[in-house]
Amino acid sequence: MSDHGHEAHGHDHGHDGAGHGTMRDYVIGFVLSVILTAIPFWLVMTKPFPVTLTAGLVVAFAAVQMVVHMIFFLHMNGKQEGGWTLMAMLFTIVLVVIMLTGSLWVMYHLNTNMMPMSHEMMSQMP
Amino acid sequence: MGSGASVNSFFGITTMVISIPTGAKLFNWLFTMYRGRIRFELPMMWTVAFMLTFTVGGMTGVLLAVPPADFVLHNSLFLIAHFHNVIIGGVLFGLFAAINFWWPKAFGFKLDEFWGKISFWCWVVGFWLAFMPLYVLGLMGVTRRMRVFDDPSLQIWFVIAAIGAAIIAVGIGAMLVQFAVSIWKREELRDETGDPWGGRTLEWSTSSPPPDYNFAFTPVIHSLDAWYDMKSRGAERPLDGFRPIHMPSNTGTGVILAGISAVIGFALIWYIWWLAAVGFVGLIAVAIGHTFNYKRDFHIPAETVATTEAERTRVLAGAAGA
Amino acid sequence: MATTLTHPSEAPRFYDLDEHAHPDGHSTMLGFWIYLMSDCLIFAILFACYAVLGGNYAAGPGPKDLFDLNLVAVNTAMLLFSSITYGFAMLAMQRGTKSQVLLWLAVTGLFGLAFLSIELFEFHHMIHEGATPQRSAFLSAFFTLVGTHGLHVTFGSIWLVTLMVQVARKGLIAANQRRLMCLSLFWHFLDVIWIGVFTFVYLMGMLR
Repeated sequence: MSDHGHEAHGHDHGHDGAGHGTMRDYVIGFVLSVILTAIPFWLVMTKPFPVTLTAGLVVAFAAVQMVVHMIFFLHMNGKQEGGWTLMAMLFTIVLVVIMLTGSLWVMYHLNTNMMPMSHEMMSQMP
Repeated sequence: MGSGASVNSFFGITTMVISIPTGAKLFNWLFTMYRGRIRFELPMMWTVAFMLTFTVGGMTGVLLAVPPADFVLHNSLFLIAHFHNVIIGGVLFGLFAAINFWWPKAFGFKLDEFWGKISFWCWVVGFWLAFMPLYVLGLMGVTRRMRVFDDPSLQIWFVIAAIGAAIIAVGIGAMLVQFAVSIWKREELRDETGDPWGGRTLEWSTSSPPPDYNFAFTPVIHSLDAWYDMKSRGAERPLDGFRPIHMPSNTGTGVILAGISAVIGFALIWYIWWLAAVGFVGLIAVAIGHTFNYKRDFHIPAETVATTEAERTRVLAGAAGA
Repeated sequence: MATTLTHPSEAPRFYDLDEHAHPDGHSTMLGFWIYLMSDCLIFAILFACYAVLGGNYAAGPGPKDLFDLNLVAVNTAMLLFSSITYGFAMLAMQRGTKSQVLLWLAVTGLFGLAFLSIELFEFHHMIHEGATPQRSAFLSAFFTLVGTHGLHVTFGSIWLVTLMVQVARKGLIAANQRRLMCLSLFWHFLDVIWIGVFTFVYLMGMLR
């Protein structure tokens, strides 16, 4: 047991710290980011599609761009720090999803059941 | 309150699900004790009180998890009794067990047994007397934070609860006396071995209080209860071959930053803008100043370690001889 | 004491008598990563706030009245440029050329300042039109979310200038390299958060 632990430890020292990027990584990441930023801005500014489709596409582009940043700028991979950075991030994503969906879900209920007046009345308020 | 059926079912079910791991933990503790040689000293007494009280608090929690019941009991004294049952029984009693258990490790002497027991019994009896009537009152429909409640038939439960609160107050007082008496009689209560309870985990293998570096050599673990394993297999404390020990330097920066943050918070709450601005600049200045300190570590020289360990050997021999 | 019961033949090693020193700061990067994840949770809460309150205009101005997408696009470009220039600083650090590290850090700092100036201009413009944080729940949530991101960029810029001084003074020593890598993570992380901001606040706001 202890021997194994030692080995894993020594291994860590070899690949210390965050992964280093290469020029290729940064340039690919930058070009992809520019494309993934420009398209949603263009979609919203010129509105070639119906609103719901545009919204879906914009969110999809954001998700892809976040992954691009994670891989090419933050150099995420499963091997860094023995996989602990990836684990920490997955855990964070779980918490973020719980927090976002939970807040929206509960507050939607409160909004429908507890608001003293309807939306029409609200919008006509001075 | 205010949520629809789906949210209520979700939170009802998840609240009930919490009781499964909690119940598993209680069985862990019970089976740890099962067929053990239990000594009813203060840490064990507090632990048993914790398990009993916390279980009741947990079970009333499951009652509150049922949405229709929760609609009735929401904001009632039943809820108040429940969460005090959990917080006092589950957190405070556990904390008191820990204080009584680890006090000798931190300060080198045990806590006074007599005043500890007075405090224990006053706390436990007082707690049950103070909070069980609140369950009854809650079921009768008394809501929380009422100055008076105009139903004379319920008065008797309030009186019982008040007596319980008074007994808890005696328990708090007895605990303060326990600390004072223990510090007063610390030479009588002193523990030279570092292992006053016949402990099983590694912290009891060091002196009490431990040296700055904790362990002269990092212990190698072969079983769950490492110190018990070391004792029963006759591990020898290394007496020479000490090396310098790499240590982090002390710094007050964290405390200073926290202090300045508190000042900024105060200033923001009371709209003292100049103070907030000064605090903000100070915060950044201290943080930047700290980063210019590159000396983050130092070594405890091998001679100092050798002297400390030799003193420990001498004290241990004295304790074994006495 | 039980130490008298020795069985040398069967006694295993109970103390590591030949310990090797841990290199300085070998856990810094993982620690900093975990800090970033906790920071991520702060932003998640603020995004949740914005998602819940973002539609409550209290009959005040809404996103379509306030946001200028051209400005946001320029702002996003500033942050993206600063990301790649920080990347160049990191590449220069790997090559060990101090002057180039300083140069690219300075360029990154300028892009960061440009971003902050545009954001402050936008805020000033909105407040001037009466769209203050007190006006509606939407605006409170907006200023808190976007303002917190802006505050992070501000602190990142202060950190960047501090690091430039330290690199200039002490060179690319191990401690400074570690700090540059931490700031790299911080800076790129803020960029990831900004993707969320421009998507959910600005673009989705214009679609409402």
